Amino acid sequence: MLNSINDTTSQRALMASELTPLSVLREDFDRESVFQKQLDFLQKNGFSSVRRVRGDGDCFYRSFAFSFLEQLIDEPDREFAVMRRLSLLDGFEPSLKSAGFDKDTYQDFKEEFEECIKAFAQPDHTGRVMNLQSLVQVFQDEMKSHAIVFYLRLITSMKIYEDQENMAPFLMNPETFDPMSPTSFRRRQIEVMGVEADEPQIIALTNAMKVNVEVAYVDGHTTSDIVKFVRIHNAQDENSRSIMLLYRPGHYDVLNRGKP
Amino acid sequence: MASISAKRLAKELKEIQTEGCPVGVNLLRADDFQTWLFSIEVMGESLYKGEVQTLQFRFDSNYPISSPAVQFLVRENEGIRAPIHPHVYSNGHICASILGTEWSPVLSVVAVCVTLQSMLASCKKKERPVDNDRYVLHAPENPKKTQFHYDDDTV
Repeated sequence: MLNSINDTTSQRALMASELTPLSVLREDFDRESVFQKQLDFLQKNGFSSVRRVRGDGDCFYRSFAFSFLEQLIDEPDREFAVMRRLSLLDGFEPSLKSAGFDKDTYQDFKEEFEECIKAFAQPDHTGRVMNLQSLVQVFQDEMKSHAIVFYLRLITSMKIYEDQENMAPFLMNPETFDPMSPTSFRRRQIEVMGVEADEPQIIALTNAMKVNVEVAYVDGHTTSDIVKFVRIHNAQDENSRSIMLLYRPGHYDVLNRGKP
Repeated sequence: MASISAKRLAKELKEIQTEGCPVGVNLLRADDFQTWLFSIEVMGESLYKGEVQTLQFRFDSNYPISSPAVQFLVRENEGIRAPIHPHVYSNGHICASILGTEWSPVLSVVAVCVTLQSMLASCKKKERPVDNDRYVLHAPENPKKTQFHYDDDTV
């Protein structure tokens, strides 16, 4: 299962230009399978499509980053929303330092993410501010997309360092399930491109970025055809929308409500 | 706007030029952002006492997201050979996880030099990898194209 999804998604664009309706995604699975029933359940509950992300091991971070930025499109006060996000990033500086990261080695990645956030409020040389189409283009640009992903990996690693006392019991090698020290986990499971995120990484990043994340697990496991949602809520603003992700074994995509 | 790769390499080069390299490491050549050469020597007591190696870095446009291609320089006709070490092939290719699956974009050229220096320093017996001849016969020109199997994850 895991291999088949990776095989079909690893050669795609980093970020799909078009949304894929859940009704189309459904065709990837066997008829009448639990997977199909789970996708039907999501459709009945108001979800319509996914934005596919390449299955290269960075899909969680890339989906998260895209969704985090996409929310800026609908912000009524973009200037304020942009400013808030930029100050969130600046607030990480002392923690990144304590976690052992040298500013020279990550500054370029941070700037790439900041440029992208700023572009939602500041017009570019053609006079346009960031929209959905231009955001997709940023994420299709190999270097920009990877730079943003890697910056989020560092934030994740920083947060695990900060919370290591609480996190340590949950840090393990995803293949052998052997426990890993926080240092080794950060170095091998987070700070390397292409290594998939598990629950500790998702929790750490969501906590650090102060957002709500909801992951719909289309994992073929439930017997009641109902999709398990894992909700991690950290937004301080009650009206904050959640970053919605769809999980299929070994892969994350961005999940969307409304019309495809 | 300069690419991330060029910005990072310019920053690394400036730091090397202003603050110098770690003891035993010297910059030999960095005329461009494609290929850099360093000399590397293990300080103190080791099996490599008195030997100076040449380390070659090649960068692609995705550096530092993707790892540099790093190897010991080999010029048989000039008497430049790769050090004899269980993780170093006679063509200069190095089997070290930080150059492959464990490369991280927070690492730097100097960090790689230091790691390889300590790989040599901790060597207990001078010998080639067991599959040296077979590997060298079929090895790609660029060591990044080889999928090494790391049986010792200390390097």
